[in-house]
Amino acid sequence: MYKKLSIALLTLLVPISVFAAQDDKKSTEQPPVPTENSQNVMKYTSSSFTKPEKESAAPIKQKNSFQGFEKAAENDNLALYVNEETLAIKIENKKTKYVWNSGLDNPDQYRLNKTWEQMAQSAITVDYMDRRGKVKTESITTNDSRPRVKMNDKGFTASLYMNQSKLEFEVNVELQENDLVVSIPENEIRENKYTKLISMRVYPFLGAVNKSDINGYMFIPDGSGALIRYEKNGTKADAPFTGSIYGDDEAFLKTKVKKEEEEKVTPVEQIKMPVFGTVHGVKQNGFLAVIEEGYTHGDILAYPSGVSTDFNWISSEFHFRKEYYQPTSKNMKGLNVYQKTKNPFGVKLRYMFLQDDDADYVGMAKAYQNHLSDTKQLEKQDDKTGVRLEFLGGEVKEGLLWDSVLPMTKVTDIPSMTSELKKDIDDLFVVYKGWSEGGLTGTLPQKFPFESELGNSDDVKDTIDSLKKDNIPLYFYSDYTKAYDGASGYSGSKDVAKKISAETISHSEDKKTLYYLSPEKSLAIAKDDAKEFKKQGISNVAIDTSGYTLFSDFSGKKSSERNQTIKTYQKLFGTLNKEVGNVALYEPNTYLWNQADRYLDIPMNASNYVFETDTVPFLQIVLKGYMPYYAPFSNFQSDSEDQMLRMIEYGAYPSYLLTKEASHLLAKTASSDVYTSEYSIWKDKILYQYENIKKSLGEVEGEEIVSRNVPQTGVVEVEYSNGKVIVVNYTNATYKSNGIEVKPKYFAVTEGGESDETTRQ
Amino acid sequence: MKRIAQFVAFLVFLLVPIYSTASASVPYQTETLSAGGQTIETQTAYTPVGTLLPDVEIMNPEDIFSDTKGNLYIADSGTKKILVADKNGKFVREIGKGVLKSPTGVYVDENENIYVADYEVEKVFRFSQDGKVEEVYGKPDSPLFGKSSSFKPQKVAVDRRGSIYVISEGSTNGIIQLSKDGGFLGYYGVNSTEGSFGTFLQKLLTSESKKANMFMKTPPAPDNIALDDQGLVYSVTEGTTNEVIKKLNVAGKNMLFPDISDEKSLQDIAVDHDGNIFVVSSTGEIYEYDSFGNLLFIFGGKDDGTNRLGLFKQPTGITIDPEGRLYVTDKERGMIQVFESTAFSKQVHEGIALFKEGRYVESQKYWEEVLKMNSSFGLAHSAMGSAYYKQQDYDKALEEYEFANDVFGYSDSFWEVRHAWMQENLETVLFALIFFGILYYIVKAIDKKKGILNQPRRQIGAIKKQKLIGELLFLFKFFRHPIDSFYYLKRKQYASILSATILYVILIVEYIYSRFYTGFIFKTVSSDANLVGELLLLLVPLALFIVVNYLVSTINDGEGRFKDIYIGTIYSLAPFLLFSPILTLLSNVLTYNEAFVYVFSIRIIYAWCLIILFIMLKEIHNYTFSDTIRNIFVTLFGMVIMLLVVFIVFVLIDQVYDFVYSIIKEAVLRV
Repeated sequence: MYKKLSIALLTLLVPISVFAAQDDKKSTEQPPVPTENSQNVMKYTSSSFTKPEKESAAPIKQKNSFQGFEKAAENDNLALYVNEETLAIKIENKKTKYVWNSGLDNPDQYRLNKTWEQMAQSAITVDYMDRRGKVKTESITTNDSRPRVKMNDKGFTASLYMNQSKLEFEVNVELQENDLVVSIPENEIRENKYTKLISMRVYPFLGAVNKSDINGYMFIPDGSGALIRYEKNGTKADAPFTGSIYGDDEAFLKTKVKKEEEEKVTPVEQIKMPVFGTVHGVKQNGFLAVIEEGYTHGDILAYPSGVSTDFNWISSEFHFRKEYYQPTSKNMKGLNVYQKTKNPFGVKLRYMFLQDDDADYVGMAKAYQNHLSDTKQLEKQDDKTGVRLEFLGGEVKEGLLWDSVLPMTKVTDIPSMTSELKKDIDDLFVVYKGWSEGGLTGTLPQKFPFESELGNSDDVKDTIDSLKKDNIPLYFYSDYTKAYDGASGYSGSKDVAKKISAETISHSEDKKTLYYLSPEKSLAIAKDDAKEFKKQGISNVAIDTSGYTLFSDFSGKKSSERNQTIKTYQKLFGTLNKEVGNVALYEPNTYLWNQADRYLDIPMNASNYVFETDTVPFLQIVLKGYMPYYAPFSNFQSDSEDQMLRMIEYGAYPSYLLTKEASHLLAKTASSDVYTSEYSIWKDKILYQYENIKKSLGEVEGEEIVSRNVPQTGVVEVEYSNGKVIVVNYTNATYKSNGIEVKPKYFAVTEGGESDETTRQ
Repeated sequence: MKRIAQFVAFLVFLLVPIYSTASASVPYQTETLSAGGQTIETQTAYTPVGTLLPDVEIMNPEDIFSDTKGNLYIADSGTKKILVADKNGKFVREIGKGVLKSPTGVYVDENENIYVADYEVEKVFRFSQDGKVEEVYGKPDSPLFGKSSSFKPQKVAVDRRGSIYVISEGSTNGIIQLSKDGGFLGYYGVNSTEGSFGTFLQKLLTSESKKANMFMKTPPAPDNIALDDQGLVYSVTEGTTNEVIKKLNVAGKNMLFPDISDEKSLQDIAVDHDGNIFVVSSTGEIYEYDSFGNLLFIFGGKDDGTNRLGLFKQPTGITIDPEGRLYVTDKERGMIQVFESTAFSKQVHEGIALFKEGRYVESQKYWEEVLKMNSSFGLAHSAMGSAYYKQQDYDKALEEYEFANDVFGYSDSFWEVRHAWMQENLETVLFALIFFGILYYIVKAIDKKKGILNQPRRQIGAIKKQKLIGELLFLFKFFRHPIDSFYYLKRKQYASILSATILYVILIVEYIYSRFYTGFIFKTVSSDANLVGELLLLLVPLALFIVVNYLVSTINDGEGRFKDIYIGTIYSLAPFLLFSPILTLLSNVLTYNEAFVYVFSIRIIYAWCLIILFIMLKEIHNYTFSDTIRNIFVTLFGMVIMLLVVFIVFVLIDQVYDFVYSIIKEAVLRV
C-alpha cells in the first residue's frame, strides 16, 4: 500500500522537477569566474606590497658639529670620530659628506626623558641584576663611567668599567674599507661577584630619526623583508618590533599547558638573516648592519616613532642571561628566573655604509649578498626555471581497532604523473614525503623501511630510475629534528633535547606528542641514514624543520648551546651532502645556505605588523642568481592570479602539494590541513602557471636582481643583471610607460627599455 | 541534533593544536565547516589591507556604520564625536562635537539622517548631514515603557518606515522600538531564558510556593543590532549560548537556528546585500554565515602582543560597505581595520547568492570551483547534492549528501534511488517470494505424506538437547512466558553462567553492529567515534547495574544471588538481542518518510526490555511490586554514588601525585 502510494506520488513529482531542471539549464551559460571590479585596489596600497617612492628627493641638509669629538681614524671612504666620554661616534661618508651619528647633537630639542637620553648618547647600555636580584639599566653616561680610549690606525679600543653595575668590557671600533666594525670580545667581558649581566645594546641610536624629519625607512628582516617608513603619526603600534634572530630558542620557552585559541593565530615570520638597516634619504645614504657574532643570542629591535619615544631607531640587543619560566608543579605553577651562568659569546657588528643608488633595500641586499659570497656562506647553485611537485605518500589513519596507512600516492604512481607534465615542463623536481613505514606522521626519527602500502624498495629504485631518464631529480623528504612519542629509533630519556627548566622540548601535533632530538643524536642518526639512503639508490633528500629550527639543549653531558647546535647541524648536512648528494632545505637559516642546493618554502610575505609600511623581497634579492628558491604551495592560496604575479615579481618558482587520491580522504588524519591536492584537479593549473613563469623568469635564469622600482601603486619593475626588466602589473588597468604596455593583472619582459611584450593567452 | 554534534566536534577540535602547511600573508587561519561538521582550515577568505583614517585621531571607536553609498560613520567615545569618511576612506567631517558625551552607536537612514546613541547623555540624537541636531529622543514617557525601566541607549538602528530601534543597557524586555516622533511602540525581539537541564531540575524539585519566591531568571538583553536591505532586524546577545544571533521577522520571531553559535561574547553584527551575516566576537574572531545561518568562514583572532593587522584587542563594531569591504573597530587599539575579500571567498559568495534563490544548477559551477580549492567544503557538497538532485542524478546526489552529512537531502535522494530500484526489481522479488512460498507448501505437503524431513528434524532435536544450546535457546521463552521463565531460571537452572556470558558477547557484538552499521539517516554515532568509547558506553552502566543491584538487594531481603542477577539481566535483554540486528538492517533501506517504523520499533524494543527487566528483579528477588520499584530507585541512586566515589578517588590520587611531584621538583631545583 505504502509503496503504491509513494510511486503514485513520484509520478506526480517527476514532471515538475524535470521542468525545474530545464529551467535552470537555460541560464547556466556564464563562466564561473567571479567578475572582478575595481574593488581590490586598496590591497596594493597595503603593507603587503611596496609603495612608490616619493618624487622629491632633495638631499638631506645636516648641521654637523664635531664638538667633543676627536678624529680616530680615516680611510678612503669613511672618517671616524669619537667622543671619549661617552664613546659616541660619528662616521662621515666621504663620498656624500653625510655624517652618521650614534647619538644626538642637541638632545634638549627632543622629547626624551633622562634614561632614554642616556641610552641614546652612550655607546653601550646594559641591563644587569644587582645583588638583591633587581634588574637595573645603566648606560655609560648614567654614572659617568669614564672609558679609557686607545687610538690605533684603524679606529680605537676602549676599556670600560661601568661604575654602578661594576661590569667591565672592551669595545673595539674600527674602519674596514666601506665598513665599520664594532666588536666586544667575549673574554674581555668581566662581571662583578654580585652583579650579573643580563643584556646589552650597542650603539642603539646609530641612524635614529626624529619623527618624520627626513625621508627614508628602517629595514627589518621580517619574512621576505619589510620596511618601516618614517611617517607622520603613522603608527598605531603600542609595542616595538622585537625579533629573535633565527627564531626563539625553544629551550627558554614556557611549555604550553592548555591549547588556547591562540593556536588559530599563526606565529610571526621567523628572522632568518642577522641583519637590519636604515636609509636616510632614499638613494642618498643608508647602512646595513650585519651581526657577525652574538646572533645566537641576539634580538633585532625596531622602535617606530611613537613607541616610547618620538624617534625611529633600529638596533640589536644581546641576551647574556635569558629569563625563563621554571615550573615547580605538575600544573605548571612556578616562577620566572634568569639563567645562572652567562651565555658564552661576544658581539661583533658590521655596519656597511651605502650611498647614492645603493642606498635602498636593494643595495642592502646586494651588499649582504656580496658579504655572504666573500665569506663563502653563499655559493652559486644551478638555477633553472622549474616547478616543485611534492607528493604525499601515505598518512596514518586511525581505525576502530588499529591504525592503518592511507596510501595517497604510491611510489609507482609518480612516473605516470611526472611524464605527463614533463611534456610541457622542462624542469621538474619531485619531493616524496610520507614514504616511511607508518606514513607521514608519527614515525620519525625512524625512516626505514619503506611503507609497504606504497611500494617496495624495488619499486622505489624503478621510480628513481624512470624519473632519472626524464631528468627529474627525486628528493626524499625527511627531518632530523622531530621525534614522535612512541616511535622507534631513539631513547625517550637519553636522546631528547631538554629545556633549561629540565623539561623536554615537546610539542603536540594533532594528538601526537613530538620531541626535539638532541643535536648529537640527530648527527648520529644522519650518519646511519646516509648509508641506508645510498643503499637504496637515493641521492637527493629534502630536509624539513632542521633547517630553520635552532635551539639549545640542556640535557646534562650532551648539552649543546645554540652555537654548538649550529656546528652540529652544519656537520650533519655536511655528511648528507657528502654521502648522499643534494640536500634541499625548507626555509634554512643563513648558516646552512652553503649546504643547500634549493631553498624551499621561501617566505613571500612579511608578518603584517601594524607599523610595517612595505613588504620587499630582500631575501629573494640576496638569493637570486645564487640558489633557486621555491614559493610555498600554490594549493592553499586564495588569490592565485595575484600570487602568481608575486612569484614572477619575486623570482620564486611555484610549488604544489599533490596526491593521486582525492584529498578529502585526509580529512580525519593528521594531514587534514591538506584540503586540496588531487593531481587531476591541479594538472591544468600547474601547466598554466608554469607557462607564465617560464615566459618571465625563464629569461633571467641564473641572473641576479640589480634594481627594483615601483613606478606606481600596484606596478613593479625588476631589473636583472642581464639587462632584462620584468614589469609586473597587479592592477586592473593597463600600465603604459616608455613604450611598454602591460595588460591588467599581467607582466611583461623588456630588454633595457625596449619592449619585448608578452601578452595574455 | 546535527547542530549540537557539530558544535561538540567543534569544541573537540579547539583542543587539538593545528600545525599549518599553508604559509599566508595573514596572521590567522581561516576556517570553514567541513562536510562532517568540523571546522577545517581553508584558503584565506578576507585579508587585512590596512587601517581606516590612519592620520585622524581616533581613541575609542565603539561602532561603525556604512551607508548605502559607502560613506563610513564612526562613533568614537574617546574623542566624543562621530567621524565621517567617504567611500575612499578620506576624512570628510566630524559631527556632534560638544553635544555628544559618550557616543556608542551610530546609524544612517536612507535619507542620510545620522542617528547616534549616547550612553552618558541617555539620549538618541538625530543629526542632519551637516551636523545639526534635528531631534533628540529621550526616555519614552509612555506608561507601557515603565517608570523604573532605565533608558541607556548603546546602539541604534532605523527601518524604512522611520521606526527607531534602540538597544538600551540591561533592557531584558528586548529592543526598544520608538516611532519617528519618539513615541514608544513597544519591545521587539525579546530573548528567551535558557532552558538548561539544571533549571529544569530546579523547577521539578521546588514546590509552587517556593518557585514564586525564587529569583526569577530574566532573559539576557540584546547587545547589538543590524538591519538588512529588506528591513529585517538582526540582533546579537552576549553571555548566553542560546539564540546568540537572531534574524527577526516582522512578528519578532527568530528565523535562524537557536544554536547557531555558542560564542558567548559577540559584539556586533553586519549584513551584506546578499544577506550574508558577519558577526565579531570579543575574542577577535569574525564569523560569516549565509542568510540561512550556515557557517561559511571563521577568521581573525586575538592580538598576541605582536601588533599585527588582522588581530584585535577589543573589537567593538563591524560593518560591510557596498563593495564588500569589511571594517572592524578596535576600541583598545583605537583603530579601524579594513578587510578585503579574496578571489576564493568571492567564488563562494557567488555560489551562495544563486543557491539562496534556489538556482542550484546555475550555482553548480561555482561550487565545483570551490571544491577544487577545498575538497572538504561542507556547504559546497550540500549545494552540489541539491544541484544533482534537481538534475535527477540521484546516485551522485546521494554521494554528495552523504559526504556533506545532509541527512534530509540524503533521505530524499535515497527515496528516489530506492524507488528506481524497486521499479526495476520489484517483479523479480515478487516472483522469488511466490516461488519460495509455493516451494515451502510443496515441501510441507510432501513431508506430511512421506516424512522426508524427519531425519533433519531429528538431528535438530538432538542439537537442541545439548545442554548449552538448550540454555541459549531458553532465551526465546522470555517472549511468551517471562514470569515462568525466571522461575525456571532461578530454581531449575535452565541457564548457566557460560550461556549468559556467550549472550553478553553476542550483545556486545550486536550493539557495536547497531552503532556503526545503522543506515546513514538514522545513525547517531559520530563519524570519529572509537570502539573503546562505544564499548564503555554499554559496559559501564551494565556492570554498574549488576553489581549495585546485587549489593542493594542483599541488604533489602532480596533472594537473588549474584549469579542470578548476572544471568537474569542478559536474558531480560532478549528483545534487543533478537530484534536489534534486524532493525539495523532495516534502517539501511528506510528513508525519513518511514522513520516512524524505525523509531517506533526501537522504542518498543527498549520498553519491552525494561518490562522484562522489571519482572526479572521482581521474580529473582521475590519482591512485591512496590518492593521492586523501591529496589530500582535505590539501585539507580547507588549507581550514581558509585560513579561519584570512583571519581573522587581518582581526583584524590591525582592530587597526591601532583603534591609529591611538586615537592620533589622543588627540592631538586632549590636545594
